[in-house]
Amino acid sequence: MKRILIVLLSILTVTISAVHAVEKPKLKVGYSAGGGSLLSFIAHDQKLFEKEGVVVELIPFSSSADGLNALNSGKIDVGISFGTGGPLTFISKGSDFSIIGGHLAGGHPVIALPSRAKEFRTISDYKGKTVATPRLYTADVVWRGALKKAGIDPNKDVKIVEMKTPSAVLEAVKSGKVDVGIGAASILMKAREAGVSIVGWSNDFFPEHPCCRVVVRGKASKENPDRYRAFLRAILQAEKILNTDPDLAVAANRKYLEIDEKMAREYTLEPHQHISVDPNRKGINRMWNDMKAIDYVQSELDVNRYINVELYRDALKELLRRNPKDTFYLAAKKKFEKLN
Amino acid sequence: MSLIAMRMIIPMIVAAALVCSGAKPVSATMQKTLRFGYLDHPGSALFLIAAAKEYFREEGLQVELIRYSESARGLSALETGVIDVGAFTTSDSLRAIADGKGFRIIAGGGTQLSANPLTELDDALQAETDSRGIIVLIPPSWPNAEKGTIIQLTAAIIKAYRTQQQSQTRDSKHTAAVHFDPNPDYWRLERIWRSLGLQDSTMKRDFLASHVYEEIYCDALDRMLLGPIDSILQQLFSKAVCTPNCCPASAAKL
Repeated sequence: MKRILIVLLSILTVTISAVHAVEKPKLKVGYSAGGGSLLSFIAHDQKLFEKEGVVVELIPFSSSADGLNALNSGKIDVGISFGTGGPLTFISKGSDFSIIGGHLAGGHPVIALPSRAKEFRTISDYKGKTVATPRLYTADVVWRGALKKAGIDPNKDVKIVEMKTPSAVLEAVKSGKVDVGIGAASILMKAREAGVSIVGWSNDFFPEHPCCRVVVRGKASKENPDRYRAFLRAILQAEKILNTDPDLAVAANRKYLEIDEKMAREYTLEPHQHISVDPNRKGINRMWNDMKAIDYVQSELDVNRYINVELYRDALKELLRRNPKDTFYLAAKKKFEKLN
Repeated sequence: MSLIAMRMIIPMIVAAALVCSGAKPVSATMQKTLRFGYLDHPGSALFLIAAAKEYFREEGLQVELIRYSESARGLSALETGVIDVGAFTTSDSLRAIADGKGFRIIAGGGTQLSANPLTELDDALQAETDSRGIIVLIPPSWPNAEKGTIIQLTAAIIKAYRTQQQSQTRDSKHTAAVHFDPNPDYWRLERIWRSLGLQDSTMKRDFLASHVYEEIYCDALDRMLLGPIDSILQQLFSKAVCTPNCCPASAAKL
């Protein structure tokens, strides 16, 4: 009798496990093989996705264009570090994308030689200067948008030298060919090593400006919202870990990006980079309007139709239900109300 | 413009471009021969320059140019695999795409300038003029694994554009009748698409966008910009709308 019971229990256990394995939805998550993906790395490393009932496969891409094309064609389900401008460009051309969250905001340095550092305190100080900028990068859009907002004509009042990469901007600044350079997070450490001054941040031009957004296909997120809510719950918990246990976050970045401890620490803990899952609808709207103002996008679309803040709100609500007094989630709720 | 006049313009553009620059050494591994069909039209001059100046070979490509007198025949050849790449009029190419042929546009060519002074002021007239220009297409059967080949092909066309622009600066009277631009320029195509009334209610909103392979042009331009600073390439770069990167593209660049 005992043996029969053991056999029956084993069969039951195997069956339940099999059902669970079949039931868990899967998400293929594309990321830029550089940075901006920390929350998903932590969630993956700490098995938060499984805990929330979704199986996540992380897939690296070498460029935003490749990642967003893969999302558009259904090869991946989520993109986490392909910027804001990239998804908005695709949306302007008709892609059925929906921005449901964030991963990174702010954090791009403005650089100049130490002897020129004091010349750049406000946006008006750029008037009449020669400025190198990495065309179409987030920091470029944010800076040009700030010029427009300040009534400075980028075509007349500033001499803009468009560069292909942020590294080229650094070289132009180092050589003294330009007065100041609009950089990107990727050159921060190189700039410091080269003795170049950080004279400001993209955050100064546009506080909390969105950078890497969580983007999905609109139709898929409407058909299967639960798996996307689960995804957002997992990365929200990862955001809490980043705030409460930064060493663990450094270790995750180090492991997934395969970089050394010093680099991982500086890159992960840079205070001007705001790592948050909040979708920041207002910020995306401003980026969209800036991109239109500087002719990077030609569209009359209502961009709000392509931003879904409900999934994030639901995810946060569920975590607050589980942890009603958690100060981190309570602060996230306040932030959500402010930014959306 | 008459066929005879057109046939006079092409050799003039190509000859002007060739006279103004010397031959280049060839140093690349050859691949299979690409059959490049083009329309007998002044806007096709860039492809003839790329061949004559050996820019295709410089890019490691073996290209056979095949002339067509009508876009319809050329597009049919592209569909059936008689040619691998085609350069035909924008209007006929877009109509073929609207009919579901699945072609993808990888680059622009040349457009004859309108003699009508109102063209620049009237969007409809401009779209009509632009629709008669040349664009470069690949068939849907082109394997994704060969993306590098299309980038090389586009790079050769950009090099030809640079040569043409340099020659135009030196000898403007021969080439002013045609405006060249290797940029596929989605927004220009979208205006033509709308003016031709090609978007129907059954098509997805990004139907046209999914047939314009802009990142090929961006990748080709990106690669060329790694070289010495070149004002012509810089101007192309300033007009290109390529997908921006938020974060560094690889960990090695951190």
